[in-house]
Amino acid sequence: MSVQVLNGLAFGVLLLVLSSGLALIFGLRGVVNFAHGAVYMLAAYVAMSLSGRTSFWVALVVVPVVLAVAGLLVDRFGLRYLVGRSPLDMVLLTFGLTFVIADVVQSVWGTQAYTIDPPSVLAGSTDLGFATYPTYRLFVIAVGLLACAGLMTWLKFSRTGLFVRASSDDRVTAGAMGVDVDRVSATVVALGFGLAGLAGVLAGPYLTLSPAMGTQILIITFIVVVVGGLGSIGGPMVAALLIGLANSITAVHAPTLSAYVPYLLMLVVLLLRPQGIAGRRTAL
Amino acid sequence: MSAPTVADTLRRARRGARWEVAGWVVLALVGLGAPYVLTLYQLQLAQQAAIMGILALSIGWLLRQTGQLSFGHAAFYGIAGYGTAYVAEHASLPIGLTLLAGIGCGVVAALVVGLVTIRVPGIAFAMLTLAIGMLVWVAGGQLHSITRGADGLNVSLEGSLLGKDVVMYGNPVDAWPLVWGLLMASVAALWALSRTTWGRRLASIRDNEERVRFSGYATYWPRVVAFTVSGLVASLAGTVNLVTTSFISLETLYWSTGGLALIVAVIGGVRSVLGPPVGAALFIVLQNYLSGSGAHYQAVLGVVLIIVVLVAPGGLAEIAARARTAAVVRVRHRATEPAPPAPARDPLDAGAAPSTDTAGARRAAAR
Repeated sequence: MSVQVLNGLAFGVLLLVLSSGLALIFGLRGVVNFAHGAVYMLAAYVAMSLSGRTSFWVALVVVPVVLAVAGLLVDRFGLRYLVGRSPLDMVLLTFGLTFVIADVVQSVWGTQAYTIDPPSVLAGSTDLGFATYPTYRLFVIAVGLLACAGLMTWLKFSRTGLFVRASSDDRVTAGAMGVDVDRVSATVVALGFGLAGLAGVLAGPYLTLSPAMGTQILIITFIVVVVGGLGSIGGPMVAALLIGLANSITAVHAPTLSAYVPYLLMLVVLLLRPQGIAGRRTAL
Repeated sequence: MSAPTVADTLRRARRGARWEVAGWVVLALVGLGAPYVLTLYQLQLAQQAAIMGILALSIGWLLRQTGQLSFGHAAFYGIAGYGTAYVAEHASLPIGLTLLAGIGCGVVAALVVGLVTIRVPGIAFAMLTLAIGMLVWVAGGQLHSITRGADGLNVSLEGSLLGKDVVMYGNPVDAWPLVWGLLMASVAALWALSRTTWGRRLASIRDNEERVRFSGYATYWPRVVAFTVSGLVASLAGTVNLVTTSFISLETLYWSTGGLALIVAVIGGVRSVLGPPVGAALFIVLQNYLSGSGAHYQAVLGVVLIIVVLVAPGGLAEIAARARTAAVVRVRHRATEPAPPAPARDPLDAGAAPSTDTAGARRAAAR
């Protein structure tokens, strides 16, 4: 049982990193980033190639940074032009991006699935006293939680974090108070892409790499964000762990039901409490 | 010269509509001649495009008329296909009834989904339809005895449909009049529907739901019906797809089937009823042309979508309309010396038009 809880925690933490990026971008740009899963997939593949040439640790640092820069460009040359238009236009833009990235991945790495080994330091298992558990998954849990703690601290205590919270509460007022909303948005989109990149690098040795991995995780991440509440950061964090745990526990105890669980959860939440667990507003 | 009155404007709009109808009738008749001009392979592509066009039309029309983006239409498309296959296998009904039963399955599914989801606004609606679509896909994978899962299901339909053995529709030359006719009939029906009072009311609900409710009109049922109609058209596409290919697999239920149709609809332009089918035709041609040269059609499609969203949110239809307006203005400008005022946009389109002012932003956010 404790192993299942840890499994759920590992998957939940991965969702946590992904969904906080998605929720941040939604808060600032009002856009549901359909490219989030594709960015995550791209990061996993790039990290695979990069750690083959250099080392996993280089990839862990370099890939999120590169993707953050890419996010900056997407915001500057894409999303920024769509401010004031229907939110659906931004959805379609990121949807187009998904197709481009999927094509890049398929033409560079092909359509076969890859599994990669964790770096030698993290290979094998660790004895936790109550159970032995793969070391790499413990590493995923630690890094993910650390990243999210860092993010929360940044949002709560830094000046830019204050601007981010102000701008996602009320764009126009924040702008009138002298906050450069476009710049804050660019920061946040870059951060969101960077977090998706981090999740991708972490997922490489943990899950299997395939061209379908992006879509699969994207839909679960959507569910996490919607269940947690659009426009909130804490809500999705709770929901991510919840869905991770539900996923691993039903997979053992009710395997036929397990595939339905996330979708049913989303359905119920949207119908009964459209603002999600902690959302202050409904999903637009 | 006095300013044009409301009656003048209406008369001009009606005259315009008459010309539009005449143009479509000509297009429909010309299209019937396709088998005499195209090769068999090209005709097969045209048939694929037409079926995809019907699906794109259903999603595009819903988006245009209610402002709601559905990512779950693959479910109705697939349910209609599987429904037809199931009825054909387990009940010995005449072929016409079998097909109707299949379409009925899709329509009922759309009605149920519509009843539950239609009140949910904006992005949440898109996500909710996505979740329901994926739920159907998961269920399809688990009901292996009915769907045969990823292996797909070969269906043998029997009987005679519209004077031909139904097996004959596997041949594009025989199937083309049926497929083309259905496409044009759907275009015409949806166009006519959006011009009725009900269609206008849907557009008002899209622009300001609260205001319409405040004015004393129901806002729930019209949208449920619109969703069901859209589901009906998607089901039609699903059943026609089954009749022409005799094969259905789990892929049809996956959300990307609907997602692709949505992209195609947006590229073609959802503001015109003809836009989605044109987008579908373009997609099939592009896919076929590019798959011969390295298969980068996904990237091209994505880039085209990005450009369309950034530059011409109304898609090809808007580009065509802009070109026409420009031409008309130029011709009139030459004929009469004083320049006429720029033609006003259709007020129904104003909500979707690009606007950078904050009022527009708020209106867009409220939708």
